[in-house]
Amino acid sequence: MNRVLTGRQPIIKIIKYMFLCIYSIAIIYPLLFVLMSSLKSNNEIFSTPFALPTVWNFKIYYDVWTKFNVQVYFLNSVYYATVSVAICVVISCMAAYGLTRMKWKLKGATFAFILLGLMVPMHSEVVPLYIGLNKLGFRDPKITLIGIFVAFAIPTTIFIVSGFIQSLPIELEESAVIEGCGLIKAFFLIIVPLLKPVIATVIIFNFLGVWNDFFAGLIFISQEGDKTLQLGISRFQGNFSTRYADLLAAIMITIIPSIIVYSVLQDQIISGLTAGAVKG
Amino acid sequence: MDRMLRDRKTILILVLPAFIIFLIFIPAPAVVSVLLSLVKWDMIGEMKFVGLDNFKFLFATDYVFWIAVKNTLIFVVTSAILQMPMAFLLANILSRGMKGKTFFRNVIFLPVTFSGVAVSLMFYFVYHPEVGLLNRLLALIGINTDLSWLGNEKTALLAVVFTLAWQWIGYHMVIFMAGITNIPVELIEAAKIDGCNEWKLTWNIIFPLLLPVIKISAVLIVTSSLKAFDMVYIMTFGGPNHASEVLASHMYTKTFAQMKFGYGSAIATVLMVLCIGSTVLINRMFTSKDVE
Repeated sequence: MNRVLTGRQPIIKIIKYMFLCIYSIAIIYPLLFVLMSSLKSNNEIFSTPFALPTVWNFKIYYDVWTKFNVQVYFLNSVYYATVSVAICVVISCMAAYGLTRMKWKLKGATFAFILLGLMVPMHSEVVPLYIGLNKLGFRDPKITLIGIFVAFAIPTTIFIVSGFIQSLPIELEESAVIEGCGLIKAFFLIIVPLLKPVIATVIIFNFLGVWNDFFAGLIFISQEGDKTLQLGISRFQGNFSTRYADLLAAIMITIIPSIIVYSVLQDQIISGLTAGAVKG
Repeated sequence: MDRMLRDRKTILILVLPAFIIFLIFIPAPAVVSVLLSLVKWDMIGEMKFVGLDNFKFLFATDYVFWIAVKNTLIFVVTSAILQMPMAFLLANILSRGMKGKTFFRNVIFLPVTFSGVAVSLMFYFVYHPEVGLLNRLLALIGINTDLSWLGNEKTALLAVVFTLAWQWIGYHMVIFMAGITNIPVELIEAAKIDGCNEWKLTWNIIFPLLLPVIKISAVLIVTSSLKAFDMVYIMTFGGPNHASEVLASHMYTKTFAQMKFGYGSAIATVLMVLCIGSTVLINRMFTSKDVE
């Protein structure tokens, strides 16, 4: 394919490369600019914006991490993402199996109904859930938040996993069942290990979804100690003009883990994040 | 085996946990939200049934709602215009056997992994009138300005749309690239042998075959732009003077700042109808094209 498609004119090729390079710089340069600026003092940000910092003030990262609760936010986000992804993946894989392999009347309708959920925006859910939470006297928003994260991840997860289960030969379970194994046991012992690649995909997809959420957190979390990373750093903007570097360091703290994980797992992350779209 | 696959108990054990959580958090609140749009309630006083009054007020009196509708439509259209052609162009270039394909793809996709909050705050800094990267770069090429891109009524909305495009073009590019990879090689070879040049190849062969993926991309851009909230909330808070107010931010203000739960639900209902409506509409549009 590549040979056939390669353009022959060298000038066009050069233009293409220049275009790609300029585009890539437009992506990377703002990141570097924020990184460099975060290490500078207010004065330097103001007077020598494009120069490297005279004193590399790495301590700002430590300060922001400890003094402004960022470590609490960070751990909260890890907690929300881990718990909701774990729950979602387990129950969605089970449901996907039930919705593809099992034989029952309303199977198709149930599947379609769950996929319809993809079209409902979160904005339509928050008011009833917020009221429900208040009226029931819940002071702990964790359950609601995790419930929302799990529920919103269910349709795509079931969709991706069931597509994968369909491609597995049914003889696998048949032989296990003949040897006297129950179906649910066969599912966990034989099917689940085969689902590993697709489970990796949905874990990445859903983890990033929860990790990057802002809207649900904004509405349901009021206590400082429950805040997610995204919610926590959003308030840094308030005192931005007095201390530029705080905000910039907070931005980098949220971005750096993404960059590190991404640089190790680019292919999995790219295919994971686009799996729902590409297979739809 | 067949008997086991029909076993009710097994089916319930497998499907019920996911289905119940789904039901509690998605369809049930969505229905309640539509019902709440018919009441007037601040959660402290008594709930009053007002019929369609919320919608009447929304459509007839609430001028901010109409600003939000207009801005949301601008948001949807400019997002599509900024993101889809650029993503198509990039995907097309990268799928033609470029050296460094993986590198460029990975770099361009990178911002997709960031949170909307981080990107918003980053661009809040980029657009800052005094210390922002944008005005600093403009000064380098001789344009001295202290324009506050996010504080100016003319530029605020587009500045947000641009930020969204910066983050998401890589996503649509990868979707298009996957689509191009799925086009049979023989088809392209045959076209080349028939004397098809690059331009014709792109528009007469690749583009029509990509329509299914373009549809997916269009649905995603339109629905996510309709729901756009994070960036608006953080970068402009709908301001200045509602210049970047969108439906989601208007709904948030009415519901959670002014405690008008019925009224906010009415806006949420409009938003839901728009999301479902546009998804169905785009699917229709593309299906009729496929038949031709």
